[in-house]
Amino acid sequence: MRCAEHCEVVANRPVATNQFEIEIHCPTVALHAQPGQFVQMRVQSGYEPLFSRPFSVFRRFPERGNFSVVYLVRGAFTQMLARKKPGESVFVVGPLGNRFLVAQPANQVLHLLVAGGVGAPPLYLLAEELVQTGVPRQKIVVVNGARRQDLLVCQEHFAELGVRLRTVTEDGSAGAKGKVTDALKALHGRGELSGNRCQVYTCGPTAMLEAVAKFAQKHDLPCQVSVETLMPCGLGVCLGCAVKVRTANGTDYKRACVDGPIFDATEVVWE
Amino acid sequence: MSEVKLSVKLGPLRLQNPVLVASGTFGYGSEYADLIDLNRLGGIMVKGTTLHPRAGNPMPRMVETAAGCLNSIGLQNVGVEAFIREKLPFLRQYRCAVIVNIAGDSYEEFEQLAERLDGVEGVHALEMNISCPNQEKGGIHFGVDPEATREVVSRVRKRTRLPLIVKLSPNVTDITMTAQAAVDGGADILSLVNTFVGTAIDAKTRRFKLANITGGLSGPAIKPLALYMVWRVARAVKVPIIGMGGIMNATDAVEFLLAGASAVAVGTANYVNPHASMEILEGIEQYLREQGEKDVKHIVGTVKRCKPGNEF
Repeated sequence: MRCAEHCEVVANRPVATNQFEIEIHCPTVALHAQPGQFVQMRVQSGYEPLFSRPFSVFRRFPERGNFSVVYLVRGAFTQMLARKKPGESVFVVGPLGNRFLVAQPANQVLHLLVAGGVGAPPLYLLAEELVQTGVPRQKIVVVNGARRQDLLVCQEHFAELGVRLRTVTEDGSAGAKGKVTDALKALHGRGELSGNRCQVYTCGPTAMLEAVAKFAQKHDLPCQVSVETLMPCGLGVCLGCAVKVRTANGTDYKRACVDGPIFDATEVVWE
Repeated sequence: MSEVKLSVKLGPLRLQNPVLVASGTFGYGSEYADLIDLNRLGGIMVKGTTLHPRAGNPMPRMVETAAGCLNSIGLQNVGVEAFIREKLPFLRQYRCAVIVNIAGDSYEEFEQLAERLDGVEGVHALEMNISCPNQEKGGIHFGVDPEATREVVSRVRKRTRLPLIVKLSPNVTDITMTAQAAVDGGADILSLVNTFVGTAIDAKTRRFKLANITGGLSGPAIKPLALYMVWRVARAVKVPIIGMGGIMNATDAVEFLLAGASAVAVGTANYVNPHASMEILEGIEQYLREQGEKDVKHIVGTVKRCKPGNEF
């Protein structure tokens, strides 16, 4: 079930420096969006920029028919989005794409969620679902990383969920200094990932996904990656968001928007 | 309210209304089936189909430009056999026309594609893609050479009874030459324009933005160029024209009809707004009512010279 319609902005509030959460009234997305799925949003009335932009669903409020996404203001589109006031409308197509698949039996698996920058929101929705479905909080580890403190996303929300949160920044301005892979190595070094059945879920910049995928592969951990790419249509027709994947007879292209955005890490060809 | 007649006859091809969706911007229809009523479309021009499946070009394949988009997808498609087996049965459920866009690297490939699709239930017309700007390697660049255009069209003409549409490239000095050549070869209908070759460079990294270096420009940026070409070709040839190139709304579509197109195809707008084709159809109908026209065909090619003092 998905929709393509003009939706009312309910709230558009700053959550950190240059970072906003926009809440939108859209019952279809509120009821049906799954962790990892996204919406295409259009705020511009003209042709500059031309295309919609994809945003992962962050929170769902089914009882009031709303959902929210988190965004960093960093270009023309997000500047326009930041100016949207409650009562104004945005055009929403969604929910789109596939979802993170929860490893089973869920309450016996260590769920390792690795987020980079604005890759955090879909992992928050996943963490929330895990908690709500009764997975013990100590079985949910979130590694939340960014270059600097002000680029960390969803920090307080993860903290409120009560999951095990490991924060890393490249400049050390919050949490441990380093990259998410350093936090993964530390967890591994303490033996937390061995002996446990462990499933990695990751979303963030491509270089980070590749590093996490390689870490997972090295330690034989199953890993799902949510890829980031331009998505002109989001519906599987423009073929502009192709992801190179391994097949039985070589390689092929899949579409991030409908075959993904979540892929098994071993399937993706990193270039 | 009086009825407005929207059905159009393009030579041998009848359409319930003049709004089609352009090849490569609407997949195989199923991708949009839950968002719009496909039964209301004039027709679907399916993704460019080749004899064998193609993986397409490396990424990045698409880049936004000012009011437009450059693409170098490279005809990624499932191939004609999988199209007939897996995609066509879905499309047969709908009453809109199904137009198969075919692309070949050689005369023989075009002939084989035409033969394979001739008489296949649910295929209402062929659109020959002799103008894809992203397929230069090895193949003959039919669309920019009038003699090659005439030859490939006449060869295909001999192998199909289906209405034959030829999609023209705008990347030529004089589009009326290739238009006339396509008509001489036996085209029933012309569709124009395909995308304009262009490129984009990232000044910061000093690199091209597309892996393929060049791509085809589409979107509102090309509308004035496309409109001009439709107007020129409409005056040069007698066959009906499907106009396309940057149509984003009903007013754009009406402009193409006034310039001489008998039908229009909506392309890049489908990415921006899945309802674009429906809104354009409704908008054309509303325009005709407002203008007191009873039949869409009555406005085709009726554009007049501007009047001094009409600037505002």
